[in-house]
Amino acid sequence: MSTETSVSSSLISDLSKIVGAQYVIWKPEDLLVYEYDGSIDKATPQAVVLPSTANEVSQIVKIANRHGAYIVARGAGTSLSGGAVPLRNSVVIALTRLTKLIEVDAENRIAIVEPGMINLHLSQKVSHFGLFYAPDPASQKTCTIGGNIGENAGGPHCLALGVTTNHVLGLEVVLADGSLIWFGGTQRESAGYDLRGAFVGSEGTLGIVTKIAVRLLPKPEAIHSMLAAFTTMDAASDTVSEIIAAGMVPSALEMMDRKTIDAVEPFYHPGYPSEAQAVLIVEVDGLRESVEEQTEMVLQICNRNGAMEIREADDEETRAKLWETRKGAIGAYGSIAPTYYLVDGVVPRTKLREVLQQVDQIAAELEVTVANVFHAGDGNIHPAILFNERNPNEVKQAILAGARILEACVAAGGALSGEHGIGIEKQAYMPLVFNENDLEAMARLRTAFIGESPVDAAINVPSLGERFNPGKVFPGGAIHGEAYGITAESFRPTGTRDWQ
Amino acid sequence: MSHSLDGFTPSSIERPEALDQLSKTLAVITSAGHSATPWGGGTRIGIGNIPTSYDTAIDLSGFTGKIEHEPGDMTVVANAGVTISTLNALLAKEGQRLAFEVRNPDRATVGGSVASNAPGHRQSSTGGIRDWVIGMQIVLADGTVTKSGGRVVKNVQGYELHRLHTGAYGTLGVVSQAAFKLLPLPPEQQTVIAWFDDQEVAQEVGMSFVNGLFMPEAISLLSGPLASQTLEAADESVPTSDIWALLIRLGGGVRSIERQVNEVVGTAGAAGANGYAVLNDVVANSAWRRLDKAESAADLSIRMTSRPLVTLEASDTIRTEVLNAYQSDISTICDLGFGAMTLLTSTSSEEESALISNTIIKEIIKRPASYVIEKCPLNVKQAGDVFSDVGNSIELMRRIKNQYDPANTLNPGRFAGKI
Repeated sequence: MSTETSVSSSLISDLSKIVGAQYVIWKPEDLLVYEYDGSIDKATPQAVVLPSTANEVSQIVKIANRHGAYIVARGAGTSLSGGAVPLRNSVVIALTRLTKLIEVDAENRIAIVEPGMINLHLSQKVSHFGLFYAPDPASQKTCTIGGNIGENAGGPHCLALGVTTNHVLGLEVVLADGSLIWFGGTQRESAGYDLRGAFVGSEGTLGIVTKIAVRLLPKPEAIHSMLAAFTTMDAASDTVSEIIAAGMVPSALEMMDRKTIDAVEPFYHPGYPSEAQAVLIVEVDGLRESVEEQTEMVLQICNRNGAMEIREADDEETRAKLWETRKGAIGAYGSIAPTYYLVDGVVPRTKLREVLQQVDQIAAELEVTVANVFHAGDGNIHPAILFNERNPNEVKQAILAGARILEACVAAGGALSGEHGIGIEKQAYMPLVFNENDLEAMARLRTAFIGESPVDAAINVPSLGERFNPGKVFPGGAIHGEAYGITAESFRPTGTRDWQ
Repeated sequence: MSHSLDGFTPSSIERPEALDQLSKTLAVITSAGHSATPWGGGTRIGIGNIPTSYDTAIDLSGFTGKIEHEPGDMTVVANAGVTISTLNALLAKEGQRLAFEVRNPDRATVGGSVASNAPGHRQSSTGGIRDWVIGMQIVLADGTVTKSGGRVVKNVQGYELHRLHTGAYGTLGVVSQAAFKLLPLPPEQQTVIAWFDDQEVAQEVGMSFVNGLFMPEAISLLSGPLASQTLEAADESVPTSDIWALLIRLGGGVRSIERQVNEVVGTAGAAGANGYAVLNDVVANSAWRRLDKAESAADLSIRMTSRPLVTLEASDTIRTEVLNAYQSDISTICDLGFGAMTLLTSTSSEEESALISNTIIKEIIKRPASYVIEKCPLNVKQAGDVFSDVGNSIELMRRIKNQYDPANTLNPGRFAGKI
């Protein structure tokens, strides 16, 4: 162990020379907050370093190469999939000091930001130009745009406006050898391979993003939000299907089930009808006339499906009130159980009803409590499994229930993740969707980016190209819930479904 | 001869119709050390550098077996050989459409459009094909069948290799199938044309719509001979040839369209447009088609992408410079919502094409922009790269090519940086 310590101390001293000693964290008690990211899995980093410029990030990568240390880039740590958990004694590069808004070009609707900028801050900073940044994950008050790049983050409004990759024009990235390089630019398309498209959603395994050029959108003239309560989940689901069938793409279509309604009541006192089994939020925006036309259609569809109560908002204050329960739902689960495991799966919209019934069955079989709040419009479900972290058996059941739910999503023709990423959580499930050839093709991209990893050579292990964020995305890197007695054998994919 | 390219004629043409045939064909070609060019409808096959070798054409126009449309999910999965118009006709039955448009949709295929990230008029509002591809099946050069993404509108599961292959011009693998997110057909559409003799006013009016309360479905600012030709196609006769035309297509519900038309016409009128017209469907189609025809007819066609205002400024500078140096009046189409400009001209000789092309490229590279020479005589291709410089990412791009096609089977030398 003495060698490890000596490597560590010279590493700390080298890192301190780059950023200053106050921005290198290495005392065990200070490292605690960097061990987890809101998921069940944890790991302690060797050190955390907080650079303030792209050049410092580049120097840190070179130093880490010399010391044979893996690197994990970290934004706000809100992925919920274990994406930012530093495995293999990694050095964490926390990008929270890189928060500058480098450029706003309002006429061309472009901004260039640093990766540590908080998602919501960008929209706030360009608001006076009448512009906003479209991707709006539920964690937008804390999550960073750099982290959004890693996870290709979505949000309630991505139904109509698209996810992160649709809004990124270019990226400045530090590669494995420490070199700085631009992918794309400030234009919509660039010559050569779409490296930015390949990089977005790669969960920090290909490099570290240090600058991001994004598109901004003009704020809509009118927004109308509607909230409808239904006596059954089926009626709410049918309403969603009929809205889509009517040729509308609302800017948001969000649903909450009875357990979620119960959870939010004591916090926000919305006073939803006691017989309501589902609450649906529909938001339409655009030209005033278009909003009026769509509002009429949505209200008709809600009424036809037996909505018991409809609330409407067309000013900011009322809208914030109307969205309050949806946005605060996850936090409100604390009133039911101390901990939640928020599963993130996607199903074809037409299979929503069927899969939600399966989620209920799985919860009953495994004796876990599940509450549902989700993006109904794009079939992105978020069953929250509620449990007590202090009871290891409950944790284990929660993980197994999550696995079964994701299996059900895939069997219905869906996907393992809509916005949280694979991280540690879902790597064992990747073979449910992808066969060996598919995974091998993905690994080739990582090899192209990383090459023969100098770290692997330094610590004398076969090179897997795991320079950045080791042990993630691909099966076999780590076991979700290992600390609770979960083993690789706990997950037994019962069959694969080829979406083709 | 069919399937000839830049003076090369392939020694064989393979026409796989099923996945196992395609896989086997590729495996055989690669193991024999031969080279191959995947071929869809051929509408954009000429884009690219001169191949270093071209033994076999893999014609995928018969690779059409599968179309799976899920209207309730607003997704479709289709095989590479399906044409864009076949697909759209099917989607329209359920009130939906592909989110992107391509030129020559009767011939352009799914595979070719994806591989060449084909642009279309609607790019101003909905972006490029890359924004709507949600999953893909790819056959690698050694015959291995792989996939990435999925068929649900939102999926983050592993690397998004489908984005890497979109616009890779078939140099990393053959696109055999793609899944797209769809959009509903708008209840109403309306095209408006407005024309100006003052280019600054035309540009300002155009940009005011792009940055205003509604993004038109398509908005193209035309200059040069194409502006007056399009006005003619729209049944408007304009005495002067020094004219700028703004061709705008609007979409939405009845009341929304009415408001949009009023705003467009009102703004153009107030700004001092020489004239404007709201076109009926037949005339509107002929006006939009005029742009496609112009691109097909041009000897030299260069597409530049940059910030929208940069493309507008470049359009002025380049036209003036080419006119002064070669007395040649070139046309430009600026898609204002996207930041793309296509420069078109017909030339009297290959030498003149080379000179004009050089002049244009010299101007483009002074700006933060990307370009591709989409159409040119062979001597222009021989003189350089038809794609703009990819800068210091060239090494990484070469490593990527080497990972997926180590034997350099697919379209060797044709891609950016002569990859």
